[in-house]
Amino acid sequence: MSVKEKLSCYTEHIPIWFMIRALLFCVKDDKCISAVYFMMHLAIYNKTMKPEGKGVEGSEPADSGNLNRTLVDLGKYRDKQLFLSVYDYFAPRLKSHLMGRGAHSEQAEELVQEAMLAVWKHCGNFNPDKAAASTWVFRITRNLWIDRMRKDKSHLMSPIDNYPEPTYTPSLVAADSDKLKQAIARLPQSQAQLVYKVYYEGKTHREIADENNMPLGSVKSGLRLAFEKLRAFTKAQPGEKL
Amino acid sequence: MKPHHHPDASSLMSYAAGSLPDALATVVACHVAVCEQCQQAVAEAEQLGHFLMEQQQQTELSAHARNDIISMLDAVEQSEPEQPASPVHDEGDIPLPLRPYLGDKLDSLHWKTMAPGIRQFIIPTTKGRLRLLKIAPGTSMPIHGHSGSELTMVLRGSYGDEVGRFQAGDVADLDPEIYHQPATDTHEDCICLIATDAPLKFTGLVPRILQPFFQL
Repeated sequence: MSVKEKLSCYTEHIPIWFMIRALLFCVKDDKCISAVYFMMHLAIYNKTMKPEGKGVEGSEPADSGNLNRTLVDLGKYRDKQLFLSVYDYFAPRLKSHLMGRGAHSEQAEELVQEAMLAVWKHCGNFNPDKAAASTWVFRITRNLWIDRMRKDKSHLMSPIDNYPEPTYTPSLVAADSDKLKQAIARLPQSQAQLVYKVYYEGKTHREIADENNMPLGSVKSGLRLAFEKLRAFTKAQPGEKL
Repeated sequence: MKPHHHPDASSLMSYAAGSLPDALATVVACHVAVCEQCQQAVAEAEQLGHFLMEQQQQTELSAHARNDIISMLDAVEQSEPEQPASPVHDEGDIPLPLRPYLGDKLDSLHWKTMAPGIRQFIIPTTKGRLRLLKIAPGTSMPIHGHSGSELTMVLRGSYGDEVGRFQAGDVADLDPEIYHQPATDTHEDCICLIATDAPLKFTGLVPRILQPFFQL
């Protein structure tokens, strides 16, 4: 199956997968209503807004498979059409991601532009052996968001860079999206919810504990178990590098 | 340096997601800088982050966003290229992420005495509390628990408590349920980097009274 086919069948299945999770959440925990609303939206969105017309005329729409190559090419040729194909892929996702973390629409958009500008400036340094393109963009966005949060309290700020470039390159097995999706789907709903809160909502352990009225220790152990399970899954096929 | 005690997987995961309070993230960053095993875990957690980000619904940007970004690219091309950051010196015992802020040497910091045998250096952060503690040989901290998360990284010397023995590079990532009384266990000072996101809970009366004065 080509990467494109994979990607399209993946967008087909997101709503079903999310709906199942949503129902599971609902059955056991009525605090999840907002999560369910989010997923309903997602399902409707995916139905009504299929990727048609998303691509740029004259340029290949980017997908997660050829993004690595695209970013390397972008560093070499500095082609704006190529950049726009990367932009069209990431910008709407980054905007959702930032809004999930509490940015309002305008602020999210401003940060998306900043992140994408950083992609353009630094893609010459992008090394697909070190990280997948999406991970690289994810890091840029995460760091920009943290900087932005700090700026609001600049009087308190110490200029510590908590996310320096790694000194060593971990050997990573390319994450197989299908497998990872399966692994997440198999997590107990309480653990999946913790992962969701950490990654999508940017909540700290204590915020999660307070919100759900559970001991901090349980938040930590739930996340630990979830991570171990997901790691075990992605490690299943050694030898396959990024 | 090959650390024996590491941050909990939950801390590494939240660090990778960018969801750890600032102070705690700094301790993780200092440990990760010297621990290959944790660099690996963080890289995997970042991979999970990008996967989840890609799974997310898409939010349309405003109509002018695409044109705006192109004019921003044009502006970048006309401006000067950025200077690469100056390389950090390799000598020094302050963890790499803290060096731009604190310099290279722990001994050249202005330590403030906090209690007999205990000196501290407070590092301002936006979320949570971050400090360096210098504990003289044979000194123990008052017994305490935590109302939130605490991460402690040993930078020099070692200490022991109910959980185990911690040496340079090690991180103690304690569950809040644990009450402990750390004590230095060699002839040299023990220097630790400690981050908390909530005040400590002391059991003794005197430490409780003094707590506000030392911002513990």
